Amino acid sequence: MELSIAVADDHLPKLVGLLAPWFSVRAQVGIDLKTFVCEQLGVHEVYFEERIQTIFLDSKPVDDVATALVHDGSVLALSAAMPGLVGATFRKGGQYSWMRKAISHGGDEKSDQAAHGWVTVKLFNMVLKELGPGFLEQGVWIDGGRVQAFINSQPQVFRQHIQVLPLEGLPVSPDEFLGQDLSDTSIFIKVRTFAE
Amino acid sequence: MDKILRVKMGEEGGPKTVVEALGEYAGLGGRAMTSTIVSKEVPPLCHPLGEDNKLVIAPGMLSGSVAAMSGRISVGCKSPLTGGIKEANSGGQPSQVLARLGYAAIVIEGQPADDNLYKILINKDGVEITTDNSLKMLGNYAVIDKVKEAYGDKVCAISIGPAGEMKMSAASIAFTDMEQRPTRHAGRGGVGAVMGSKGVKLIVLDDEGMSKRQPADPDKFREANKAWVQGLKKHPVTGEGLPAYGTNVLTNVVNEAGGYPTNNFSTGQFDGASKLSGETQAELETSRGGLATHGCHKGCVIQCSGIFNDKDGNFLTKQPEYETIWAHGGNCGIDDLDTVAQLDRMDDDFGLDTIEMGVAIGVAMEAGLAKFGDAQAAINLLKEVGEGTPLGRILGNGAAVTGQVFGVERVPVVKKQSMPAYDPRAVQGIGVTYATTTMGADHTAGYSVTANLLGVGGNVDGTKPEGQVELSKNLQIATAAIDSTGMCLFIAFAILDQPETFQALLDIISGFSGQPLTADDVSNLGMAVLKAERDFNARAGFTAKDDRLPEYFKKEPLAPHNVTFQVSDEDLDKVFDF
Repeated sequence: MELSIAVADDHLPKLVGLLAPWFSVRAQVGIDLKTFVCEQLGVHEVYFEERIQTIFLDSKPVDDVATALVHDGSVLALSAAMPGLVGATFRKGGQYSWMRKAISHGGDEKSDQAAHGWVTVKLFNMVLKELGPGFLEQGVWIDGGRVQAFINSQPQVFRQHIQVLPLEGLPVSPDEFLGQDLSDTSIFIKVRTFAE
Repeated sequence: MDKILRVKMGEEGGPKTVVEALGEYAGLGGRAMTSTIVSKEVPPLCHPLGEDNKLVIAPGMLSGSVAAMSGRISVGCKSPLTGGIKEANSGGQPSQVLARLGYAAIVIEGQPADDNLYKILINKDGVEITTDNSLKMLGNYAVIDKVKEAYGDKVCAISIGPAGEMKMSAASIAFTDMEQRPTRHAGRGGVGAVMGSKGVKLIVLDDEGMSKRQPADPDKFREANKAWVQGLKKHPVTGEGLPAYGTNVLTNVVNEAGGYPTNNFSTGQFDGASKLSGETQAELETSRGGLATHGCHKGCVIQCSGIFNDKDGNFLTKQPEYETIWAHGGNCGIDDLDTVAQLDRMDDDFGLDTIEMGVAIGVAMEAGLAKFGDAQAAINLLKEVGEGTPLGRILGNGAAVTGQVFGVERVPVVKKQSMPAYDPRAVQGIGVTYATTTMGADHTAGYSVTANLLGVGGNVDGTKPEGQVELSKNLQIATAAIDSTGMCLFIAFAILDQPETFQALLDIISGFSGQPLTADDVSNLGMAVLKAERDFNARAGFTAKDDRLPEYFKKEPLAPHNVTFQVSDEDLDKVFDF
């Protein structure tokens, strides 16, 4: 199922909660993490290098983004620098990284079997705030029940600012959308903005 | 800060006060002051709740000045929880106010012959001790209501709740915040029980008529403080992450790493973590008219705290810290922020360490007293602590006692103090610090700046086991030094990454004291503090066998990574080789 949500541009940041705790993308896999994030997810290289300081691939902290490969079914989490000694240990290539060596990502053998696959993406803290709107605009896959729950949790005054539209069809109100049974249904969502 | 106030509770005819010159304690502050006094003056084998123990309250070296972030206060004593030396520190207003009143420390010693409760008022005119039995068994919030009524809204206060009066080993000491609420606590090690054993319920501090402490070299101090603030504000952790989400920004990340102790340390990931996360919390707080960005004392520029309102928009508690949310949340299988906030409020009111209580309740859940995830049961158990029922007294004496009473093997403590929110099997380096710190399991003991930056111990190769030990040692040294300055430990992130910000800190201290200061001086201070603490613990009967994690951490693999704690006992014993 594919959906478009139109929202007044001022309110786009409020929709990033849709992306928590995770969303899925279908993209080329079998490639290294940096290429995946920058080329497949469209994250600017400078942002990736400087802002994204903490990366987990399948729950393993990553230090070398050139040797960690993203596979079909991978779970990728991206975060800014974290506080605390333990937070610091998780930084990519940080000087405390040895403190969590037992769980670190050890790198993969290079593969020439690039193909398309599903990847679960988690954005945390400042990264969610800063990259979230872009992901919403380019489109992501989210569980339908979670989308409904998110819209349901928003105050009525905010709901007035959004429209839910099938990609090729007539607009439906948020209430009509919420009336459908979408639990366990993956929905491709794309958010469009309009000036109010 | 040129004097020490000694409050002698056991004098004939009632408590007496003596004001002394600093003498051999000149130049010390914060943890350096508390640990030096306790190490020199408290008999290590004394009963922690007896007349020979002393409770030392000391502002940091820079407290009372305009140095940003300098409002931490240390509390020291022999701990009723661990049996060793204890330093617990707190934010809030009292550090700045006590320093402006000129006191480098308050030392409460002896014990009253009666059962009266005492209140101490300290202002520009001196010190007054009076009995006030109307305070008996009042929660900290009710105590502060009385303070406001009697002394107005400008004073600040240090108090204990019912847990301290009942001398529970998890009892904290509360320090009022900028809004005069008792939300900041010296939480760990049962310091509140020691205050209760002295019969002191409340200390009121009034600095009206006093001025800020002045630096010896105003120009150097001013310039350094400016660079200091700039350094803190430009760093992504102290300038963005912490102000936006508080320490709870760690929930998602630690959980993702598989190091988030869940259901009493039985697994490393919690399905409900996202509901407890800093991101969710900030959204909830602002949607209810609270604050996601707020300081715990004047002069804080990081602003990692907040205001948590209830569903009706009324103040419930300050923004709970990451460790609190973990302890009462994921560690007990609870994924509801409102429940956690309510438990935080109860802890603050009863005067309890949130980490110790969350872990004790987790152990109780493992024992079958309640089910993991049962929020109402957790609230009921904590109510029992506040009421002092027999079960409540067991829980209120911490996780180790709770585990012993109910026959639980999986009790995550070191030196009987509960572990905080990072599983040492996933992050083994933190396990070294948990095991070897003088304080019992403590995440802040080895929190601070790098060895190389401080120039302690040369370059460390962390890829080797001895490197883990070496760095843990150096981190503990650096932390002890920072704890002595009155600076909030969260400055560590900016110092870690920005050498010029570390230099600014050195220049602030040097500009304030008028004495030159190098990184070596700072590390020597940290080493001196740790030596004094180790020496006290050794005389109290601690040996290398106490510097260990519970056995199950070496035997039970932690999901999802299925790792056990691998650092050998021989390596742990090398941490304190100086």
